[in-house]
Amino acid sequence: MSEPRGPAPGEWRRTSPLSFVVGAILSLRSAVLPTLAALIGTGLIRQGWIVIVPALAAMGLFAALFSFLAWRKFRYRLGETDIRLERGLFSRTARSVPYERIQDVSLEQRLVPRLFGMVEVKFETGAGGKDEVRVRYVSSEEAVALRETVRIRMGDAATISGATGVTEDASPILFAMDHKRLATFGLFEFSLVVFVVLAGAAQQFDFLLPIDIWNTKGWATLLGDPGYALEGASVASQVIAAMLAVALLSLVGLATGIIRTVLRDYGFRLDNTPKGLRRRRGLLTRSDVIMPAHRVQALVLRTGIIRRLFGWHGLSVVSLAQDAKAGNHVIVPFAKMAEIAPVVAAIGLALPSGQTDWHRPSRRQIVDSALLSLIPPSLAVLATGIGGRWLEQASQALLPVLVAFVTFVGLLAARAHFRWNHDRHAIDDQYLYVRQGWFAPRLDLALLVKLQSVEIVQGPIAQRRGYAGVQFGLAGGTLMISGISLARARAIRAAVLRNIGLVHTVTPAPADRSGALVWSNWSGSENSHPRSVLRPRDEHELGKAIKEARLVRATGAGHSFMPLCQSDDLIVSLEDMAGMLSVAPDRESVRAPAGWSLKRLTAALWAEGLALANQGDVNPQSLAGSLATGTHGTGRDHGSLATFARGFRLVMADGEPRWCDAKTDPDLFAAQRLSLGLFGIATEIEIAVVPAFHLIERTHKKSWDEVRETFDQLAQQHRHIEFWFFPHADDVILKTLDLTDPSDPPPPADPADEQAFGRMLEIGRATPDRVPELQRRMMAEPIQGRRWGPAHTIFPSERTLRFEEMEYEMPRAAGLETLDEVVRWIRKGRLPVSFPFEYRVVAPDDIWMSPMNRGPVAAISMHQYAPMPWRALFAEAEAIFRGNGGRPHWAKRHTLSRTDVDALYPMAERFREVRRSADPAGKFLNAHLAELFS
Amino acid sequence: MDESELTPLDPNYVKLLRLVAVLLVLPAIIGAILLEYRGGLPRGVVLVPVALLGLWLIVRTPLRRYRARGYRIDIDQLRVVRGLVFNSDTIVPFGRVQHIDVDQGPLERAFGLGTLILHTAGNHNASISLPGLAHADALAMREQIRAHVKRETM
Repeated sequence: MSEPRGPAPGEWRRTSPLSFVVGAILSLRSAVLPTLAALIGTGLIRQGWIVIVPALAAMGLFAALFSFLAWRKFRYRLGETDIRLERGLFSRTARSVPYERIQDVSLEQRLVPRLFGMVEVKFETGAGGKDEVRVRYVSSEEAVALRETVRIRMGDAATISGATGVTEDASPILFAMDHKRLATFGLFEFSLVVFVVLAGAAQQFDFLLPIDIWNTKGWATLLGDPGYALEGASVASQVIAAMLAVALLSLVGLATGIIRTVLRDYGFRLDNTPKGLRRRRGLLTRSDVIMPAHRVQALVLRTGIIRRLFGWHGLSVVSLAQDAKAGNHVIVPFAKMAEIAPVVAAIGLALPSGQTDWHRPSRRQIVDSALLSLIPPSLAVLATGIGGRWLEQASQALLPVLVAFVTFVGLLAARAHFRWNHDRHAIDDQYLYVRQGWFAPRLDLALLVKLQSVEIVQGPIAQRRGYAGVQFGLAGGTLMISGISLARARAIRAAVLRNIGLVHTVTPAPADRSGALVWSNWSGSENSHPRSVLRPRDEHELGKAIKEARLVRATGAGHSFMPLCQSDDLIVSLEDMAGMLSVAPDRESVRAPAGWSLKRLTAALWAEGLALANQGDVNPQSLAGSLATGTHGTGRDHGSLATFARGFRLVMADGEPRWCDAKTDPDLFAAQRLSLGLFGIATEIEIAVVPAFHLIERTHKKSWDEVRETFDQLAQQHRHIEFWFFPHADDVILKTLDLTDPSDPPPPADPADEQAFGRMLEIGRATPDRVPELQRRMMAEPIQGRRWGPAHTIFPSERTLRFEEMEYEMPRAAGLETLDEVVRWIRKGRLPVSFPFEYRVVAPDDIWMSPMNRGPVAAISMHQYAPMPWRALFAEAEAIFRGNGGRPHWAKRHTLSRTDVDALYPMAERFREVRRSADPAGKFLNAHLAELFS
Repeated sequence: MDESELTPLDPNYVKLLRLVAVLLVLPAIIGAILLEYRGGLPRGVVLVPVALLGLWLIVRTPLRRYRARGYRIDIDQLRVVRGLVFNSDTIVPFGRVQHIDVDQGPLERAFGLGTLILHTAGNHNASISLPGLAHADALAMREQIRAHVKRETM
């Protein structure tokens, strides 16, 4: 195939002269019915053919003339930067469409134009179909050339020139349907739509019919009395007749389905071309569409209540371009998941995996919506019941109405049950997955960065019952999660907005990686406006960026509450860094990419039969970030994650990589173990690991007085122990983790607890006075739970409710008394601290800047629900913690000054010296860190 | 960030809502009066309930609607909360704003108010309007948001 040549820029062009013939035929076709209607309406039709023929001839002439003039007046020009079109008989319209606004170019061949070899070219602009630009009709060669020209100007030039000489047919087929598949698909497309159309048509044109079709008696006579025969026939023959009718109906439905499917999807073929996905399909109207992968906004995986049982699914893409009237393009109409997965991968997206963290909708919403749907049919039954007292017909109808009602209730119950078992949503760093629906279940897969807005909606019932819907702005489609708890809705919104905020970094313009950037931490309390955010793919790219930057900070999940990642110059995220897990021959340590989240790391370790000896209670943080801040779990014999580190590969301030461990560079290693990211950016970290193990978690309630007496003893008995303490309640929630035998994991915990907690927080926010009472009520509920499974799945728990946190590591001996003092202070002032305290224990270490380096500690975390005021409360509590010899967690709220740091850490100056020699220019020092460590 | 304090709308917005309510209620009152006089109904049978309802719509409802509404403009996003019965709470990141309008109808002009409208590419919430701002504030917000909106090729 030779390279297609488009028309030269700047030249005004006309469509093919044949197109006015096509246009005339088409407009004639659509004018026939109105003409007839007009003739009928005026009564002229009774004159017979004498009137009809000339009227139609006049119409034809008029259509031809009109079409010719329209053709004459239409011209288009491909300019340097835009396409211009001029058209209009009476009022001229001149339209300019800039190339970069064009989302897609599609070619369409309908039946009539096709007979003449004509093609319609559609330039889709994503303006909801309103401002669509069409050039109709040109020859198919010219259409292809036109498309190529526009594509090149659209900015896909690089890919196109790369593809020169490659014949399109040589591109790999992603999906195609053979006749057998098409037929199977047709069977599932069973449709009774033909009856609807017939009925509609019959109503429209019943005046033309020789009989009154709504008159059953007339029908009976016409059909040789079978209706009457039915009435008199035996039950058996009635049943047979009914079965025959059903069989006929099914046959028609099947035939309709197959015919429609064949017409639409005959010769379906999806290719992976360098320009994007190319789809060709259709028997009479053959369409040929190319969808650039980067314009994909979301994917929709559809199935049906029956085809689901056979494993058949269909895949569509939501893109800015519109496909006929539907807002999305079907790219795989009917296939098994094994065929769909490669297509999804070719687009560069990912289907949900076993790791996906699914959430259920709110049980209340499911119940409410089922009950609401009951209202109209209940009214109908009631009306029939009441009517039955006076009207005979109504009393006769009562039985069928009741049967219908019971069936309906059954269906509703089935639907509610199905929804409870199947409706799910999940969100991770890149995607939002929403699976919902009963009759036609669907899974929406949206790219977070492509979402436009987030709205939480609550109707009157939802407001009282504490659930909400989340509606997302999606270009070219709609996406909604309905009926989830308000707290969860807020958490999802926050997660999505975090990703939208970082959008420029995910898809930076190739030439210019800067933009208006905002970085914010998990709780949303810390924001930063870097000049740019970079996701380097290798050390070389990272080194170059560090070398050129004035100030650079690396960010992970943003789980710190302090301004550790702030930078007005460069922020780097290591998420896209290439790298893999390598296990040491003795299987006692591994090297892992520093940017991996703990979640990813522990999953990868598990696959190798390994695990971290201890973890904290959340796992989205990056490995590097959790080591650098001294993040820890709980357990008498287990130190913080920083104690696991054996060595670091760092890209230093000069942009050069360097390996450091206790032997090669003892000073740098000692400082880097808890580094606050001050010495270089870690790309790979060697950490100690242990053979994989299973844990059992036991949760129960205990009185605070009892815990104060027995905690030390309990801490001896359990591998991991912690408790949660609502300051206004008398009981605490005690959680222990112990080794257990491998066994199947139990079903995931019901999110109801977290929902109840979320509601409590919301009430507490609105009426802070009620916080004490709410906490006592919450703790009056029975609390007891057990779950078990692979260690890395049991350590972390879900945290969707956002909070601010301050954590002080107290000398172990002073821990319980300090907590008691803080709680007494809160109770005395009835202070609205709505989140519970968390109390954990950590083993000592010898790390320079670790708050555990003086002996065993008790870690007391004070939280406040993020929307509520926290600063004043934290300040007072901090004084109590400091007074009792506490030292803060580096990543959580604290107000240490440089003098405080020196007083608390004897090695602080040594730490600063190492920093000064590693990074003399202070490239890794932001304002907060400069204050403490310059 | 998103659960923090909302900024209330301009107090004049209550007056605007009241005026709109008056314009809605007035025909009903006139109708009620005519009905009573023409229909020979006993005094007040229709007028009193209609007047009470009207009074509620003019005095109470605008205040409640005003209180249910609010917004918050952050460095990178706008949050708009509205709706008494059907509550919605929308956040639009500035990075997703296509273009911005400030509208001012004749009634709004009388009270010195304006409506800020953000347009996004989403099918849902293609335009998010925030009425009841002081006109000058609306203009200032437009400038602030425009500073953030960078041309971005999707």
